[in-house]
Amino acid sequence: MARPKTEAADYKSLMLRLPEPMLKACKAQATQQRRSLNAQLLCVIDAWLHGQEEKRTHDLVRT
Amino acid sequence: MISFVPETIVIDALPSLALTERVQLPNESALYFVLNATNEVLYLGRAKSLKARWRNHHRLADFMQKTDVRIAWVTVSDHYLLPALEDACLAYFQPTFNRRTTADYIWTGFRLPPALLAAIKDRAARARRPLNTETIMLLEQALEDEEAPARPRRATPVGT
Repeated sequence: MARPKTEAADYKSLMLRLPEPMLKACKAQATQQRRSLNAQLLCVIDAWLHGQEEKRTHDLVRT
Repeated sequence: MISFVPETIVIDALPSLALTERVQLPNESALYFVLNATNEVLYLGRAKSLKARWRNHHRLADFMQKTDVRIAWVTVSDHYLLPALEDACLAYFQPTFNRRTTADYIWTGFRLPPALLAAIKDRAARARRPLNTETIMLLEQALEDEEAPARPRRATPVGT
């Protein structure tokens, strides 16, 4: 099922202190994927969180 | 309950490869140790796939500046054990490159959907960690999973 879209205006700001090497790695990935750094971080976190959610559901179904 | 004693790890006896030979690293989940010429542990980490982790390691540039750097590893068949093993080894070896100073951190502005922020906040609260720490940990895991190739699912035998 498609997830509901959030308007850009509704986005919340978050200030993070990221380790420099991690930030560099993310920037390199963003360049590779032709995305902004913000979009890249969103994609990575969102995909990972949903992957975890699916894994949990899968485990629950199995038990 | 798992008992694991980092003191029993004999660094010199572990399988290892020169940093320049990292493409030959095995595709296994492992704890890895970055060593200098005198086998001092400079850095240690964990990976679900050692080979994938070192394809584009975030500290590679730092290690490339040094000479005679090797990567040694301990294969861990169950990758769920890796975080606990890594913590025990970090406490014991205290590698220089794992220690970060505040100067190594950069402030980054980030805009995200409220639902995603709520999900991260929820995780942070459950783990009793600050939001910044939780986000860094989450990113570390996500980046590592993105680098590691997906493992094939075990086929269910017909008729079970």
